[in-house]
Amino acid sequence: MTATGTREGEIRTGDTAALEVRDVSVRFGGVPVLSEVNLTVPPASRVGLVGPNGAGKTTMFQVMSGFLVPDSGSVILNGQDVTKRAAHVRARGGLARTFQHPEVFETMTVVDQLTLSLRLRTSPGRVWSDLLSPRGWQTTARGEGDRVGEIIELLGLQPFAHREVQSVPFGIARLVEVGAALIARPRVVLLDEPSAGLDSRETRELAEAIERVASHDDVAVLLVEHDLDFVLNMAELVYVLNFGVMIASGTPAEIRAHTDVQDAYLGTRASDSQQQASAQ
Amino acid sequence: MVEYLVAGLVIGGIYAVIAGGLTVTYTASGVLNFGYGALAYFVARCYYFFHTQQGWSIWLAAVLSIVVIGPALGAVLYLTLFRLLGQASILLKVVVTIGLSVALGPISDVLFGNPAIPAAPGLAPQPVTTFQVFGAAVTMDQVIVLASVALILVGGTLIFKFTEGGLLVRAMVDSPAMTSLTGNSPKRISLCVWTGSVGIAGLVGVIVAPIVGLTSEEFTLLMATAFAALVVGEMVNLFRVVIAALLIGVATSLIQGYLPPQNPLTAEIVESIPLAIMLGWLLFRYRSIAAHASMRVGGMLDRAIAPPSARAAAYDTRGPLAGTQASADYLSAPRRDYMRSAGFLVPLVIVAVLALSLPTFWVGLLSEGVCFSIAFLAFTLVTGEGGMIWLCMSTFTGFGAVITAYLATNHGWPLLAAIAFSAVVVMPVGAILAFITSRMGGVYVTLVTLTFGLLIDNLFFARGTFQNFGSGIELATPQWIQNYRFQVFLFLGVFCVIAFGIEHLRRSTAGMSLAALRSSEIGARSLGLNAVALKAFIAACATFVAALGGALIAVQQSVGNPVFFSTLNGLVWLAIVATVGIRLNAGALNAGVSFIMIPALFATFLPGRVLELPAFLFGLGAIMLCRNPDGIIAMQGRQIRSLMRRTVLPRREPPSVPVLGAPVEVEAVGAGASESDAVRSPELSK
Repeated sequence: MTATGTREGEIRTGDTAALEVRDVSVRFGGVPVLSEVNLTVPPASRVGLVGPNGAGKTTMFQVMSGFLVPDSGSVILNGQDVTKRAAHVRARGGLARTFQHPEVFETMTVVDQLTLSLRLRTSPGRVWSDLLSPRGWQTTARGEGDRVGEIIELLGLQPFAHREVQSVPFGIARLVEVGAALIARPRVVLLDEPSAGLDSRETRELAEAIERVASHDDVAVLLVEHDLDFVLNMAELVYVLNFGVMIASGTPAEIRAHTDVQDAYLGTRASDSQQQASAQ
Repeated sequence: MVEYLVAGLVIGGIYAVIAGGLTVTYTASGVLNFGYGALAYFVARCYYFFHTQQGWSIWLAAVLSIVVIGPALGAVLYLTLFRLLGQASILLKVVVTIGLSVALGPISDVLFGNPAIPAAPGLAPQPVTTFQVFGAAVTMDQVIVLASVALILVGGTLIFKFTEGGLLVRAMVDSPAMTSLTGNSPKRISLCVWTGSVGIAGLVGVIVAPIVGLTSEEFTLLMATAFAALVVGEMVNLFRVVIAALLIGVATSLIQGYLPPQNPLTAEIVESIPLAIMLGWLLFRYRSIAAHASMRVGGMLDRAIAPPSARAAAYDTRGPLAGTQASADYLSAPRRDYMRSAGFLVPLVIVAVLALSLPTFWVGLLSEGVCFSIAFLAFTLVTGEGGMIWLCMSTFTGFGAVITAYLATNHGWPLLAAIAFSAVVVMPVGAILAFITSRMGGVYVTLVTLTFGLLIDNLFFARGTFQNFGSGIELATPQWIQNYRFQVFLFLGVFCVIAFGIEHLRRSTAGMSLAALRSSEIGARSLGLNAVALKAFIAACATFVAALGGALIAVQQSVGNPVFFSTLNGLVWLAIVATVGIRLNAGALNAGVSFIMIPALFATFLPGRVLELPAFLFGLGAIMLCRNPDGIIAMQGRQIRSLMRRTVLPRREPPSVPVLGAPVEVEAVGAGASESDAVRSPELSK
C-alpha cells in the first residue's frame, strides 16, 4: 500500500492497464481540484474510488472520460495517450461511463437506447452510411439484436424493453444507463455513484447486475461511490481521494485499516477520541 | 472626440436600460423574454394613448401606464402563461415569448387604433429642454434614460444582493422545490417578479419611445441590439451588463465618427457594430460559455420530483412486447404508426383537392403556401430533429430567393442551375454556424443565430443591388412553370421528396443519434457520438432546404425580394411552425399553407378592421404552446389515440414489475400499460 496512489495494478497484473491516470492536475479558477493524481485500473478488475464530498472524484471522471482537459498529466487508455482526445473518440476506444444523474435518452425505448449504444461504438460509420441505404426501414440486424437481448436479460429489463425511458422507474433508468455503457463490451467502464437514489435492496441488486455483466464480458470497472460498503464489497483495489490528493490505495482490508483514511473519510479515529473524551 | 463620447453614452444608456430590464427578468425568472420589446411597446403605446390621444397630463398617464397597466399586464401574463413555463425547454420559452411579441402589436392596434406616430412624447415636459454637454446636445429625455439606467443598476443590485426578497428570488431561480421547502411560495415570488419586470419594461418603453420612435418593429430591433450587452455581461451580472451596454454605445459612436457620413453603407455598418461585438465576444468566451451550457436547469430536487412526461404513452408506437423467449424478438416489434402516416397524408390530399377545385387566384396563393411549407421543413430539420433553435432560418430562405433571382436575371444563368447553386452554396455557411454554436447552450444558440440574421439583414439584404428600392430583383420564369395548378403539384412533389428524406433520416442511425442528442448530449457523446459533426450535417441539410424553399418562393412570386425574408419575419415563421408541430412534416405543410391562406381569407371575406387578426392568432397559437408543447397536430393525434383507446382497442393488463436487475418471466407490456403503472410499482417506488 502506498500513500500516493502508485501504479499498483500494472505491477500486480503485468498487463497493460485498461486505464491509467498519470500525474493529473486540474485547477478551477486558480483553485486546485486535483493535484498530481495517479490511478491505475488493471484489465478486468474492480477498482473503487472513494472520498468525501468535494474530494475531486467527479472531476477525475470528467478528465478520464474526456469531458475535461487536465492542466497537466496524462490519461492512458489501453496503452495509448488519449489526454487530448474527445469524449466520443475515447468511447470508441473502449471507455464507457455512467453519470451521477442518469444520462438516458428519455424519448427512446430501452431497446432503441441499447441498440444505439451498441451501434455507435461497434459500427460508428452507420451514422452516415444508413443515410444512403434502406436499413433504417428494416428491423434491426440479428447479430445486433442478439447482443441487445442478452444485455436485457442479464439486467432483467424484459418488461421495459419497449417502454420509453422517461416512463420507467428511476432504478430501471439507472440499469438502462449501465446496460448502455456495458453493451459494447468496453475495456473499462466508469460508474459514477450508481447507487445514488436507490434503496439498500436496489443497491445490492444493482451491484449483482453490474457484476454479472462485467464478469460475463471481462470488463474492468472503476467505481465512484459514497456508499463505502458498496465499494469495499465490490472492489479488489480501492483509491482514496481527499481535497484533490490521492491519500491512499490498496485492498479493501488495507483501506479499512488505514489511519489517514479513517481521519479524512471515515472519521473513525476522530469519533473514537470524541467518545473517549465524552466518557472521561 | 468628447462629443462622440457623450453621444455614445446616450446611445449606450438606451441599450443599458433595455439590457438591464432583460437581465432582471432573466435573472429572476430564467426566461430570456423575446417579447420584452413588445411589452415595452405596448405600455408606451398606452402612455401615448392617454397622454397624446386623450390629452391627459404626463404624470397621470405615466402612473396609469407604468405603475398600473405594466405590472397588471405582468401579473396577468404570469398567471395565464409564464407560470406554465417553469422548467420548460428553451425552445418552448423562446417560442412562447416570440408569440407574445407577435400578438401584442395587433392587440395594441385594435385597442388604440393605428395612427401614424411622427414623434412620441416621453416623461420630459414639452417643449423638451436641451443641454449642451462638451459640445454634444443632450435632451431631457436622454437624461431621464441615463437616470433610469442608474436607478435600475443601483436598485436591482441592492434588491438582489442585500434584501431577503432578492435572496428568495435567487433561491427560486436555482430551485423552486427547495424554495417551497423553506416555507415560501415560488408562485407568489414569481408573480412578484413578473409584475415588477413587466413594470420595468413599461418604464423602458415610455422613456425610450421619444428617442427611437414608437413602432413595435423598432422596439423589437432595439431589444435584439441590446442582447449584445446582455451577452457581453454574460446574462446574469447586472453591473457588467450595464457597463457593457454603455461601452457598446460609446464604441458605436466613436466608430461612427470615423466613417464617411455620405456613404450609404455607414448607417448599416453603425447598426451592425453591437451585433458584431456580440458575435466577437461569444467567440472570445466560447470555452466558458460551453462549460456553462452543460449545467442543468433547476436543482436536483426539482429534477427528482418532475413528473414523467405525458408524451411517453402518447408516442409509444411499438405495440406489445413479444416476451422473453428469443433475444431477437425484442427487435421485431412493428414500427408502423398509422396515425402519423394519416396525419401527413390527409393535409396533402386536401391541398391537392383544393388545387383542383379552387379558382386561379386562390390556387396561386396555395402554390405560394406550399413553397413556404418547403422552406418551413428547414425548421423541422434543424430544430425538430437537430434540437438547435435557429432564429435565422428566414435569412437562408432569403439567400435562396435573392441569389437565384440575381444569378438568373443579372447573369443569365439557367433557372434550374441558379436554384441548385443557391441551395448548395449556403450549406457550408450553415455547417460553420452549427460548428460554432454546437457546444453553446440553447439560449446562446438563439442569440448567435438572431445576431447572424440581423447582420445579414443590415449588411447583405440592405444592399441596393438586392433590395432595389424595396421591389427586389425581378425573376423571369419559363412559360411551363407559370401555371398555378402545375406549380402546386410540382411544389407538392418537391415537398414530399424532402419529407421522405426527413422520415428516412429519422429511421436511420443518424435519426436515433439526433433523438439521443436532444435528450442528453453529454450522454450521447459518452457513447461515442460525434455530436458536432452530426449537428453540422443537419444544419447544412436544413439550410439547403431553406434556400431551396426560398428559391421556389422567388420563382412563384417572380421576384427575389429580401424584404420578405427579414429576421423578424423569420421569428413569426418559427412561431407558426412550432404551433402546428415542429417535429412533424405535416406541421410544416399546414404552417406554410396557413401562413399564406389565412391572412388572404381574412382580407377577402372579413372587414378591414380585423386585418391584424391573423398575426394575433399566429402569436396566440405560439403562446398556447405552453399548454401543448408538441403543437396542434400532436395534440389532436393524442386526443384521437385516447378516444380510440377508450372505444376501439382492447384493454391490456399493466405489467408486473420485477425485482431490479433480476431476469424475470413476463406476460406482456404495451400500449395499454400506462406509465404510472410502472412508476407507482409498490416494489420499486416505495
